Amino acid sequence: MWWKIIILGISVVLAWRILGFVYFMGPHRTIHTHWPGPCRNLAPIRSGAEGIALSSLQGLAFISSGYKTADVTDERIKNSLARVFLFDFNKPDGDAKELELIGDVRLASPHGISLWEDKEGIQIFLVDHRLTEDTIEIEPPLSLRHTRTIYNPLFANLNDVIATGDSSFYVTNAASVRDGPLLTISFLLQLSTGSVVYYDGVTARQVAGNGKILNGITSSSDGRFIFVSYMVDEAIVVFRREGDGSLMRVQTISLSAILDNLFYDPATGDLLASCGIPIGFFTMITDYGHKAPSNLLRIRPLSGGRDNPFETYNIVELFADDGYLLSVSSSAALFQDKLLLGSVLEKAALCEIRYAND
Amino acid sequence: MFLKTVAFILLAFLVQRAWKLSLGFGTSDVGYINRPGPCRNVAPIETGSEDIAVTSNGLAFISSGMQLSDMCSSAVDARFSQFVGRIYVFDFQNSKQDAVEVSLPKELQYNFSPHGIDLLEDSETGEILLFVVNHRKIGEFVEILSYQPESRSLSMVRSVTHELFTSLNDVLAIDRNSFLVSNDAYFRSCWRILEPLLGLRWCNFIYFDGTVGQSIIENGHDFNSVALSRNGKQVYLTRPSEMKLEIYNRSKGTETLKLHQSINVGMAVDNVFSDQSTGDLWLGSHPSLALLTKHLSDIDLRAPSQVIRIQPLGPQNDPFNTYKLFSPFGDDGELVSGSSSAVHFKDKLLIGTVAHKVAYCEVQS
Repeated sequence: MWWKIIILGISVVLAWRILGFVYFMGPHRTIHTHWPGPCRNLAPIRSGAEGIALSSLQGLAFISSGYKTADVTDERIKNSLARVFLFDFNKPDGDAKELELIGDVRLASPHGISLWEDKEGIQIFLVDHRLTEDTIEIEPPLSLRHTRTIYNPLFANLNDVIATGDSSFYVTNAASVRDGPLLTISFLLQLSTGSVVYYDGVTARQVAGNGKILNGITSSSDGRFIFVSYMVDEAIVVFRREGDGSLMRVQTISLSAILDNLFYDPATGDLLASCGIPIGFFTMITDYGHKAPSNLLRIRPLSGGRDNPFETYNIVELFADDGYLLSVSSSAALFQDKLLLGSVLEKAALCEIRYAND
Repeated sequence: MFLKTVAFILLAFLVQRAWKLSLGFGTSDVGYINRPGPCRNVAPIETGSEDIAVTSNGLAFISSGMQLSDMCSSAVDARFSQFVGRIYVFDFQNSKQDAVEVSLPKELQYNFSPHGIDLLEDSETGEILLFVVNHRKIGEFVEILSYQPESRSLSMVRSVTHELFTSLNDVLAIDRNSFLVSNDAYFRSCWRILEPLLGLRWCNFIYFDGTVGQSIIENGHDFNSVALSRNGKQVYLTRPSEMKLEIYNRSKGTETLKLHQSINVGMAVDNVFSDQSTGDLWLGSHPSLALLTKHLSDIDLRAPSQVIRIQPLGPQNDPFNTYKLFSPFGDDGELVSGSSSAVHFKDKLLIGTVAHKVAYCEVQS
């Protein structure tokens, strides 16, 4: 008799979790097109622009391209080239340029990207799914010279990276396993296995855990705050950085949208969140030609002191597309009145902002 | 055994209804702000601007102050009974001016709860005839009024009521005496809540030819707003609970309508405006019916707003054969709550709401 009750109980919990997964896939979500001004695709990017790192001092954007997961079936994605592109905002009518990679390393599936700029130059931090995470140093003008590859057992299923020094950074783990049936179960049941890991230059340790699928990560310009995308929770979590690198949770910004990477605008203190509809991504990995909608939200801090800048905020949808310009957006960078947008698997777009919704 | 079967059927029915209803109910807890350019409210409108009709010269007539209290008063804010029904006029070509109240004919003073509105312009005389759905205390009426611009007043031409008018929503003028009108429910009272809950299809869409009224579409459950294509060959009808815009092919004269196409818009659509200069359709929409319902029960609670534009990309004889959907305006409810209509005139937008204010926007992006 009580066996039946236990089985019923487990079935209800499972059904609830799976319903939650269906909801997360977003079949009910609606995004229609509206651009802030004229937009165009950025040649020659065709195999993704998953992450963008911006040097706001120089107006240079570094774009990671060629991301793929193990369950991709479309050949056009499986065989795509893993590269880093450079786009110069100071020449907005130009194309993106492929950066030559110098050194004994071959990229496989570039994911999150960040940069650290000091008087010595720009260093690029790139998540690559070869079991490892890299740091790469740039040497002008158009090439990347490999410096270091960093691997740590805490790097379970890396998503994005934010540099906090010339050899220190935070990374997000979307889950605690890399692939296989355990990962599938983790996603289906939305288990909280995501985490944030801090690497201080020598060792790594987990500084935040129990997140459902942690995705993008970025920091404020002064480095005091770390912002993380909590994808399933449809929120940005604001953390304050302590001296030793640990994180204190300060605020949750609810977006009601499934978000990927974040961009912090040093000029205004705004956060940009690239969002989409997950079922679009899962359809695209089987069919590269599938168009799935994308949108970009701008979260502007309205009031709040030094310890919690986003105490109150407003949300503006700065960009939305039905997928024909940009399918499954994942990243963005803003420089003056130009907006660069990237998608996980396909193209990148450059928009002019005619009305800034201020 | 029999009881189990009955219980199972009942459960299946409830699940199906819940699924269908929840799709349109809206999951957005947050309405995103999205402006095509600078926007502002238009004074002095604060108690609703449910529908808007525009002349070819950019003179907009706004129906305001609909008292929802006649439609199940226990479910709506008590303040609705204090609303005063009015028609305002706003000139797109003099957009810095406020909207101006138009005086009503004597029979309608204290007897006016306006809903959908349409207009006819006489190209020879320049006369403007307004057709307004009015929820009078004694029943559902379509008022045909003539606008006197010098005195900014409306004079009564004709009042039409009919036994088929059960719960009117919007009207489409055909000529001086005839029109199409939609019923959004069968009951006017609280019983109307049962209709979407049980999936009852007791609504019809009516053609009044000047003398006789007849149903031209039957067995629907929410016919909301109606508009006409540029060439008069297609009639557009919104179905909020199905989140659709329906396109019917129209036979002029007999006014027979045949369903040609359905466009799924992804959220609860309210009023449709057919832009005569571009052929675009502009829809006032509600991203969350749940939040709209809360707003109607307490006007101070904000409801998100959204405007959708459908651009026809097909050939002349089948313009929406292919189309593209745009969302040119969105609000979290602070500027405008519960957007029910949107009209476009020369790169300017006017957005009306069920029980709140009006927004005027310039389109720059």
